[in-house]
Amino acid sequence: MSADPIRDKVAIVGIGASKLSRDGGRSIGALACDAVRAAIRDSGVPREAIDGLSGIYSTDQPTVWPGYVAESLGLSNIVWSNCATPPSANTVSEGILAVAAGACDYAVCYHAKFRWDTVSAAARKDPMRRAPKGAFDPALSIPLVESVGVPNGMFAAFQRHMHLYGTRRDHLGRIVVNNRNWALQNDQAVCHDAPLTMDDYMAAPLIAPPLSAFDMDMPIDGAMAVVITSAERAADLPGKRVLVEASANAIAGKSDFFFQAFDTYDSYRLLIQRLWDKTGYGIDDMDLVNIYDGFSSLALEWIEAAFDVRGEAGRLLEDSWDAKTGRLLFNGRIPMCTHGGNLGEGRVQGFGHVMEAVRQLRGDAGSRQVAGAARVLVTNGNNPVNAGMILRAG
Amino acid sequence: MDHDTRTYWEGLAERKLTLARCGDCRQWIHPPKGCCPACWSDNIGHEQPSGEATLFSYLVQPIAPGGAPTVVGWAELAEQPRLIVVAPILDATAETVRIGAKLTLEWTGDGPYFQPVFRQEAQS
Repeated sequence: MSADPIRDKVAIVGIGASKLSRDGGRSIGALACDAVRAAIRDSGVPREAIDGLSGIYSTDQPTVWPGYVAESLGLSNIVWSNCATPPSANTVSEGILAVAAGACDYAVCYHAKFRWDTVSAAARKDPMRRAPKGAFDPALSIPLVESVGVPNGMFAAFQRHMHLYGTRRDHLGRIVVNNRNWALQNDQAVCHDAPLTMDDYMAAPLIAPPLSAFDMDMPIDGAMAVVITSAERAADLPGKRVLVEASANAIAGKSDFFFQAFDTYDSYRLLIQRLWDKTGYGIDDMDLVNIYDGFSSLALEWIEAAFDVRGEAGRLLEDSWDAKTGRLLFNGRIPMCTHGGNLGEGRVQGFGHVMEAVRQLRGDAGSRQVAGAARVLVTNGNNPVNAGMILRAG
Repeated sequence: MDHDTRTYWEGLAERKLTLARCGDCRQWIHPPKGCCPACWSDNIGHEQPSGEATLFSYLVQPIAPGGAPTVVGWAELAEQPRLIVVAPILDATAETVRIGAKLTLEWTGDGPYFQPVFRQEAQS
């Protein structure tokens, strides 16, 4: 077999984030620049050496284009740029590929989210939050001949999961409470000061039964970025490097997100299998799983794929639940989303899952540190379009 | 409405459920597409399914902001597995709706586009 051009050849060498908040008092462009500057400073790479820049479309919001970021931060040596489709780990995987291919030496990959007026009634009252017209994702123009709301197909898929497998709302509650409890230990999380117990969760009003507001990720103003370079160049930088074992993006089957409730899981399975095939690892080789939680029901589907327990996620969540700490520990050992996930830290559409993997593998996670963390699984997105990677300590 | 969905909408104006179907491999295609996902044929025609369906899943939600909760059903048509039409389930409530229930097609609305809806058959 020919040598893998990615495995152990590409490193994440810097991370940075803006403030994450419900109302940061800054534009989305400024937030993106906050994150990109912080990541470049963290890496120790001189500004002039940055030659790759990667942003991302968002499913529901205008994009901060790489051209805007380059102009705003005086990045004048960009020879590779990109603006990928969601989920947000895709911008990181694009940067990994670009560095592996030699298209650039130092890539900055970022994503920014904002509480536009399309997000909530509260945001509609703020004149600073009017989304520009015509800037919404053109790549996802699915003809909605039956006008159900965007995520309702996913909710209906979970309704069917309950019917077929006896899955219950308190199973989702274990996912939500786990992430919210970890968020209490993360100073930058929007839910840092907002404890949530299982009783609170079960008593919450149901917005889209069986889901409550706690099952949906927290809309915020915020941005995150990473700096990527070759493993070789990374060795000359001051910080601890984190190496890429494998990175993949899957598309398969039909969309649960926009329209229907096909209940297939094809793309989750495809993504996870690809990561195992590329590395020879299985779930027990992971020390932490940063499972995507744009909705708690999506996290449940990812858990089924990652742990190969289709239809039995409820039982796995029960077996892995520590009621005393209000947290999950899979297979007696593996924690999930130690930063709090989208549900607790805030919604940068899964980018936080990559950031936390880097912190843990550098040993920089403070009170959240997983002892001896050597490998982390990151998943992002849903069915049919998703992304994932396995990172390891360098 | 676009080139792929126009026939569907024209059918709604006549209280007819008109779905895309491949003229070559005979696969039903919904939502409609410009070519057949199964055999790549461009020979996309339109036909009317029987209206017989089974409830695949559902949500109980207000359709209009502030409105009364409605049972929105994912109706799997008898013609093909996972051929699904999303529509309200008339007279069903969170207590009476049943995944797997037999459904029959009906129409509501004042036009020009009428709305397909389904009704659960009484449990025997």
